[in-house]
Amino acid sequence: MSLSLIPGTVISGIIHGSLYSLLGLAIVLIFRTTGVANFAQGDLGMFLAFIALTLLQSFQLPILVVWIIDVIIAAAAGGLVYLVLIRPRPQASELNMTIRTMGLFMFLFAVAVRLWAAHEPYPMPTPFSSGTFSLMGFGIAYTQLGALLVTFGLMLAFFLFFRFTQLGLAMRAVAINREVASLLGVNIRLVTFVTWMLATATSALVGLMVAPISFLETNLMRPYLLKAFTAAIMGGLTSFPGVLIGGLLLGIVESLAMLFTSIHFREVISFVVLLMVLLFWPGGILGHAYKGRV
Amino acid sequence: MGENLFLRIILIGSVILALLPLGVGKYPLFVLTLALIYSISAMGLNLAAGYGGQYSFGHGAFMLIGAYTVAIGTAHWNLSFPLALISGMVFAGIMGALIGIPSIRLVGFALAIVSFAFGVMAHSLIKAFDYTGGPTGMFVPALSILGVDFRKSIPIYYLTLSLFLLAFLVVQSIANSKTGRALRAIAQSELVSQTMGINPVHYKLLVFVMSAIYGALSGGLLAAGSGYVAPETFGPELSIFMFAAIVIGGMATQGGAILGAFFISVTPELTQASRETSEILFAVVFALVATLAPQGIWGLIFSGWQRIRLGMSQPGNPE
Repeated sequence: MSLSLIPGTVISGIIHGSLYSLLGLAIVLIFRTTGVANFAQGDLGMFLAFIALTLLQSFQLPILVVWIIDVIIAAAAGGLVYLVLIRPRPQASELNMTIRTMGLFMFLFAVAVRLWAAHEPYPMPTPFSSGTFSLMGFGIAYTQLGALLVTFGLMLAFFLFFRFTQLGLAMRAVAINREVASLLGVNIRLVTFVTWMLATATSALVGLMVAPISFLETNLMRPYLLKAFTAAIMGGLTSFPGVLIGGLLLGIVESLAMLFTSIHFREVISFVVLLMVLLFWPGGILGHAYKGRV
Repeated sequence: MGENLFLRIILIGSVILALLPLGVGKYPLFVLTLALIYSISAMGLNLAAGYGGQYSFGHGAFMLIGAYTVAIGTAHWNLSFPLALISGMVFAGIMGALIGIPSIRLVGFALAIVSFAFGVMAHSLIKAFDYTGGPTGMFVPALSILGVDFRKSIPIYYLTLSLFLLAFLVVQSIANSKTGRALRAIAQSELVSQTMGINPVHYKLLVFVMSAIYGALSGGLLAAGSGYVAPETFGPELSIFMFAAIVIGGMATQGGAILGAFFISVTPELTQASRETSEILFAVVFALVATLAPQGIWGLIFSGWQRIRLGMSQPGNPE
């Protein structure tokens, strides 16, 4: 191992980190509006990647069309999850809601294992051209670059959406204070419904981008879920810029640490980062401690 | 239920359980042993999650620690079975404190996320090294004490049964002690409990560490009972199953934890369904109960029983 590997390692860290950020963004979206830590966020992406694969295999559509259909299905599924799982008994505690997402996580995984685990892993096509190019002596696949660009594009879209649209403003209002937002005429149920649609569509995109980088399998999103949670906690669970920076930092730290130790320690490294953040920056690297939904 | 009735049920139940090996075959006895082992784990998790409100989504990792300490301790370090079992419990307790201290000070989600991450990490670490048998796992050598091998069905059954009763009584006495009252006060309002001189972090950490120790005990017995430890037995799914068990059975009640543990361990054996099918069934029941009946099946039975009693004692009195 030589020091010349470091720039390439950092780039690879940024590429992985941007995916952590994007999934973390979906987690933060849900957390801010519903107060729920959504444990199913990762496996929703895994499940939707399998649906995309099924669409590809049965209808021979071009991959980009499949992506679009899959994201639409994802949004519908997200809305359905909200209506079936989160909407009933709204007076329940936030931890009860979190348990419900654990049930969904278990359900999605069990169904995916039953339907698809027998022949995994599956190669997954990508809309980006195959092959790699060299940057500072480090091979980067176009798939990875594409994932990075899509991630940053989506991030930008989210920022514009929250800044300049009526619905985005309503979402921010609900996140700050549900009661006041409701008094001011914001339809909280509608806003929460749309948030679940958006977050699930984001998960689907993460799944579609992760699947071609590794292979598509039922365990696909496990590591990403944990790192997305870590990124979200680094951002104090509520901050969008925080989760973006958190995910990128986590990706870089993880890649560098793996360079100096061993690939086996990948999960350990992100776990240590998570504990360190909780110990030293309990309110996130940018923000203030979350004190419960008001 | 009155104190007397409660004691009588326990007494009768223990006598029946103690005499059972005389009457049933080897396989039902094995299933019952498993159910009791899972009950120990569920009672521990219930202490943290049910009574203490500390949502631990990594309980399987503590079971992993217990199981692998028994396997490695007896195979590589020549420890005796009881010593390996106790070492696992101590080790799990220390790990519980290490991950509990940073997370318990914060909102409930921190521990949920950290413990879940701990479960995934422990599972991926244990798979990575040859010393622990890698992805295939390892056999547990003969666990002889005074010439009795505790991997055999009858010795492990009686060991499990006695530890189950002990574990039950410990949780029961904690729930009825000063600690139990403090936990109930914290659950009502953390702020009020603090003004009464209760340190919430202290009690939450205590029950979380206790739950880790229970997990390790259960895992160690599982290693002995099945004679084999493998990473896939103790993956993140196990943590979710254990949590599902106490939610389905009913949180913060001993009966609920045991009922839930029996549900998840006996259902697949009774229905002879494939592992995937029973997992889907558990997931559906889990989500349904969490959404619609947070008091769990035990809670439903209990409130039904009270309604019947009320109806009988006050005839003609509309509800």
